Amino acid sequence: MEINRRIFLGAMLYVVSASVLPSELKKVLKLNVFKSDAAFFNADQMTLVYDLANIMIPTTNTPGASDSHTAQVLDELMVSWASSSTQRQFTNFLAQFQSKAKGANNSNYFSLTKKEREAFVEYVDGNAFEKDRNEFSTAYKRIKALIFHIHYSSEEANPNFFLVPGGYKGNLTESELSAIHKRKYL
Amino acid sequence: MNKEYDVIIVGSGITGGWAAKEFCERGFNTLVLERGRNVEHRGPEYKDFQAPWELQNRGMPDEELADNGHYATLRKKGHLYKTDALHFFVDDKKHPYSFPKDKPFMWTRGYQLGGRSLTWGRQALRWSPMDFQANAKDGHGIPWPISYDDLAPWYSYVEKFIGVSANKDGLETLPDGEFQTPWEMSYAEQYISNNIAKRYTDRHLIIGRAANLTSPSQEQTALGRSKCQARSYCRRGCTFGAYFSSQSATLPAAQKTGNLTVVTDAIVERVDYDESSKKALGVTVIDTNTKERRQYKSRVVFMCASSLGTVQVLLNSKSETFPTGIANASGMLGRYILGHVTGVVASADVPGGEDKFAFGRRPIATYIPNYRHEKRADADFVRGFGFQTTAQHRSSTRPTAKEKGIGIIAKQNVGQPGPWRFRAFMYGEVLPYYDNVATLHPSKKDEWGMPLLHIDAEIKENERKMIKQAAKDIEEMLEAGGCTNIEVAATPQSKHIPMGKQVHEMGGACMGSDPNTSVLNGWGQAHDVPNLFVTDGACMASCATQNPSLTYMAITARAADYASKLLQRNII
Ligand SMILES: Cc1cc2nc3c(=O)[nH]c(=O)nc-3n(C[C@H](O)[C@H](O)[C@H](O)COP(=O)(O)OP(=O)(O)OC[C@H]3O[C@@H](n4cnc5c(N)ncnc54)[C@H](O)[C@@H]3O)c2cc1C
Repeated sequence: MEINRRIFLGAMLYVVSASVLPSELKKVLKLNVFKSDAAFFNADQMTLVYDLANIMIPTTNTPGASDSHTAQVLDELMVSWASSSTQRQFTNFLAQFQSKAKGANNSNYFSLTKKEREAFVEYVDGNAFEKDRNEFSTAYKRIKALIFHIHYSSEEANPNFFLVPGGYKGNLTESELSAIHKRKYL
Repeated sequence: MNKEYDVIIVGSGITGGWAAKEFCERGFNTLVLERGRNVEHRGPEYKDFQAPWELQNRGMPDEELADNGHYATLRKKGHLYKTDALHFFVDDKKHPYSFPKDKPFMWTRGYQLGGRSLTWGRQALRWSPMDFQANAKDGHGIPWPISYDDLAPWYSYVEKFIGVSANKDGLETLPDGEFQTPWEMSYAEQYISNNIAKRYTDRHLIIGRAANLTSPSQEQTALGRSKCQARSYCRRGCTFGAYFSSQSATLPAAQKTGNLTVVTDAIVERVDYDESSKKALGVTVIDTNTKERRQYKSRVVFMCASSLGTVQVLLNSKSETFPTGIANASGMLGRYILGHVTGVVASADVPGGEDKFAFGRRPIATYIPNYRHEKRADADFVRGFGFQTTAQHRSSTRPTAKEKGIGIIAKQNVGQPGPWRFRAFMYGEVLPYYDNVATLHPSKKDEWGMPLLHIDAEIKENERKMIKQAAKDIEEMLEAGGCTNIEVAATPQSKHIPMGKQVHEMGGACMGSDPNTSVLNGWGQAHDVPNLFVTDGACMASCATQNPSLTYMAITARAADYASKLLQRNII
């Protein structure tokens, strides 16, 4: 294979978001703002991707996209996996997303409250799967699929994953299964 | 380096590994020539200890590959196109082959030490006596010159060495063998199996027969192999040596004897023929890296380069006596390209079992063996089909990435246990057709100067009729199995079904008793060239419905034993 790329194996030091907002505003917005550019996305784009991922898969009683560092992994994949057309598609999408958010809310996406941002992403999600078949919703669906793939293939989302199960049992009760999960081997 | 050997074996995959072991253990100075790179057992190319989050690009191959036309065949197969084992499959942009535009052929290859023994699905099934009788009985193809009884002891021999975990099912259509402890069925599989047994005497849902160790023998342990850990990451290579591959089993056994030489990065371009002795002299190879040619000589040549790989080399081995390829006096070389066909996929819910769960990743599916060998009143076709099936885990709700839904509610809905869902894939027998043929492309060559193989093969009327019947049968069986929500998808009669998709390509140098209509005799020995043997899938005269590799292994071990005796007596 002649293609030479930076290789991404999944293990990395995650760029941690740092808030540059005054603390009052921070409470209302609940927005993690990246202050420096990442591997592919610039700081603004990272802030948006991180926010989108968290709205799609929030932290509840189980880990969410921020716990699985989904945005940071996506950023790495943009360098190691994405073709130039995907790179273009995603950066265009992020720009369009910002301007659509502004059009719909009369305000910059980053200035919206958490609730408003969630409502807007939900609106985009609904349209993408129900009505629109355009470049914007196609790109949205791709980003969503990637965010889900990254999160649900992460260590955080798979606490009962066994690299070496030790055997197979096909007829267990729930308590037998939990006992196996607890002792971490068949 | 020594250029003269007793035996040259072309290819180091499932059959090449077996030939190497057999000749080395009988004391012959043996050379294995492999076109691919060296792959070390338990070396850095094995990815079996990577969790999903550790796979390169989370399992997704670099998009530039597809954009630049790489791995066209593998991309069409879908599930194999992942970074966990992509390096064990051939990129057909680098190694092109050819087919008519309206008959795409899917050729899934592995060019490396170990060939596809590293990535195979390990379903290890014997053929039945009926399978070897089929050609003679219904007049399609060339009658087999061997019977089940000829192979039976060799099946036992290879099963004991490779380790096959299976149940003794006592079926005439799928003879039992030398088995280790079988894998267990899931709740749902057992439920359907029991119900099917109540309704039919000729149809059975059984646990698959896996070349994965469940109770290793001393011989296997001595080779450094150990029990399967139910990870089902086999195609990444197995650090435990738990499934059978050339690397885990045959090559180390051959190596132990001190009689084995392996040369990798050596493409066999042709088998050299000596006009005066009327024997194969050895082979000419092209160095993969330098592109230089060199020759090796031997008393015997065993072709184990995989069915179509072998056909390509033989067709390319032209001489005065054999202007269309070595051992091709009959004109049959390249003819009767075979394979299995899938035209029906079914799935269904299995009732009950809400309180049942599965743990571990069983490395084998369940199986419904062919029950239609004999033409029945309701069948307007000959031969038959079986089904590869599974319900090893209960379904659970998947993330909703491909539909509407985000946030807390969408997240809560992920991973909820759902019903047990059973899936079945038809595996039908494609008849031996004279005009399903592989030839050398008249003008196109690969980067080493080898003419491309041009494969012109298709399924026909008989297979289309089989598909119709398979759809009816599986629906009936799932109903009898007690299933609900049955969905059966049959490929429409007008839709093209590519040959090769089931990776069990065979034929092209078939066995037969008559030198005028076949390339090889019952020992896999060329009718026209007594020291040339073909023991990979090219030698098959029909393809039955079972996964074929166990049969190739038995044929190879038997042929090596026969050739050894001829060598010892200086007959070849
Ligand atoms: C994903 C997958 C799943 C499968 N599952 C099953 C299964 O469950 N059961 C089953 O029975 N079969 C299965 N098969 C098929 C099985 O892998 C093959 O039948 C088997 O590997 C054939 O053995 P072979 O030795 O003929 O060829 P291979 O194992 O393909 O080995 C051929 C070797 O020859 C080398 N070679 C080719 N041309 C040349 C040349 N000109 N010079 C030098 N070397 C050459 C190749 O590089 C390769 O190493 C599966 C295959 C795949 C890919």
